Amino acid sequence: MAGGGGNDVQWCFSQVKGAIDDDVAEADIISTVEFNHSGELLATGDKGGRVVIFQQEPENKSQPQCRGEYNVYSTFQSHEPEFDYLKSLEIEEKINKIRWLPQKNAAQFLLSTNDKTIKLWKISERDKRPEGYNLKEEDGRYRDPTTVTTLRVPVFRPMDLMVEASPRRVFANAHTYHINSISVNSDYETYLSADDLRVNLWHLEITDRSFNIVDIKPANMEELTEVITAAEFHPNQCNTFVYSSSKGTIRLCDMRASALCDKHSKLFEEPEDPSNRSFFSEIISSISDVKFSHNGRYMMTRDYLSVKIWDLNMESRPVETYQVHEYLRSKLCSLYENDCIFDKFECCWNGNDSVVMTGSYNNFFRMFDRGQKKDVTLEASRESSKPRAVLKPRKVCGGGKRKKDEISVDSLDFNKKILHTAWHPQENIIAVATTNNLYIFQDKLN
Amino acid sequence: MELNAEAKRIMALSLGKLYSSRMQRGGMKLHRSLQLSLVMRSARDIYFTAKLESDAEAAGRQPGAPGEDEEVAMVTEAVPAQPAGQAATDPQQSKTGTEAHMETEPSPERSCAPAVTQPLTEAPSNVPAKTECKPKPAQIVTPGDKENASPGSGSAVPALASDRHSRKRRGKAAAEPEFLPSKKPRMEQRKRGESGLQSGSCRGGASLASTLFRTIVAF
Repeated sequence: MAGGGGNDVQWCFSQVKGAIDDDVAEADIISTVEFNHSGELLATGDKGGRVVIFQQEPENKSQPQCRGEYNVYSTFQSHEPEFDYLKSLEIEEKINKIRWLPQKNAAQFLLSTNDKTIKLWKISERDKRPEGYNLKEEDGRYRDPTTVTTLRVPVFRPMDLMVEASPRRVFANAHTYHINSISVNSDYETYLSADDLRVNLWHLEITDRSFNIVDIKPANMEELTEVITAAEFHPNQCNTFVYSSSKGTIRLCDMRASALCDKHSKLFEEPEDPSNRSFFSEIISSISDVKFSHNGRYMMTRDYLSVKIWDLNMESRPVETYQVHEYLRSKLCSLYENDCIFDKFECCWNGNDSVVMTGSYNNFFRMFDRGQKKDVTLEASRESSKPRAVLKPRKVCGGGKRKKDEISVDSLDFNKKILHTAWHPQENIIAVATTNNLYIFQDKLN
Repeated sequence: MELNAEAKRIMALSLGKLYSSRMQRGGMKLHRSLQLSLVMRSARDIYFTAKLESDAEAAGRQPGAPGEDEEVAMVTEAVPAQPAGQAATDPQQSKTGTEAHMETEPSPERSCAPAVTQPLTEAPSNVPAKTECKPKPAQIVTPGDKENASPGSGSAVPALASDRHSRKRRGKAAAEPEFLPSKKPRMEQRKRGESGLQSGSCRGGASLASTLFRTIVAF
């Protein structure tokens, strides 16, 4: 089994959030998952435009072996459906991405985005409230001034913790196409947002303008051959960012080189394996996610069938390639018919960059231990949701004789897909989103 | 002709997806549209290559005989060649990723040009070595040929529409696939029916791809 660190990690069920019934309301479909920088907070966004933040309970001193549970900390409506009157198009409220800002004071800040608008939210706690106003009753109604006979000074009294989310900035009207990524810069002052054809640079304090730093829109749209699929800032070089394309290439850009970064500093591309050439090979090479390693030396890309690790110093090919579900290669036509071939899977690194994780179908997710060259397939299901139950590795049988406990490709449920996963920045705690449930697993502590 | 049937099926499938993507909330996604058009182009390429090969075979077997009976229909003039000429004259259709591609599309020899009258169907999954299916280098046809190209071509029809209307459908061209919305303007229905793959394929294909791109651009 794969794990972080040298020893084999055993993953156990910890919690599951979300409705149990099989009838999934579309608004409840989880569309993004993200831990904050300390791992204490876990945010999810859904198709209905809501953000739900979970907070980890402090470790129980009497039970040092148990990590704190994640409970709901705040829920708010981040985006509402809008209408673009000029184009007669509805703008979906679905949250495409959430990115946390590093914490600078008592409040927490995060960026959330739908297809067109990015918002900066402040999440703050209130555990005291003023009491003893002279002109107002406790419930807020104004008192009849004639009844006031004495004066008193209002005082703060403790109250039940209340978590408030308020929108502090709205960054709108900068994207003609659909926003697919946002990424906070390591300078903690700027961030980028990317749509199909452009990447814009924003300052967190300034909402009425942004700088366009990448523009791949051709003069004649009929010449369009590729789009931007993801973009991310380097974790510690504030001048560097990458963006991936639908053709399977990644471009690394240096903002010091020029104002408009259309010319890349590096182009990462692996030549196509001719033996894998197929009718759909063009579209399955499209990169759906790109993530820098925490140490900034590598980046990982996810395309439909594989995960690739690239050394930033080598553009010609990835240093590691992991097959996520190679058994699907012969099923591409069916996957095209049922639209699954367009699914955009994300990927993530563990805290020390030794293990990477990504999702698959049938509520399976995969982990690849880079150091030990081992991989494991696990399943997020209600059946294996007993507290602290150890997850059993799963195996898919591509063809031929199916062994006991193996699942055949044809019996995989392609409606149960895990597109979004997140790994706690320090611990072996992972959050895995199925369609409308969030599973939290952690490694078994002895 | 499994390859052909598959190619047509995939093209029909793709068109259906393209149309339905217009209806979805949030509008057409550029990336999805691009991917669909890539698949359509691949299917088209495979279809034509397969057609070429089968016609070459048929011609070899029976010199002088038309490629495929019902499909020969358009033929003769059918010749795809148009795209080049067409594209040249039709600014709208000029270079697309696929357009350019089509300009060098293989134009099957007139005599054995397959008349693609079948509606779109799909392409085989995982067709091996796409390179094998790559159309042979085309013979650029002059605009003049275009006029001879299709019988009953509505020459008066404007650029985009012309190549779509250019030919009447013949052969066992199936009824239009049910999934296609019935209320679409005739232009588009006709185009579909011809699957733009009429023989010339290229031409039809050109119109097809250009329609796709126009659709994408419109967004």
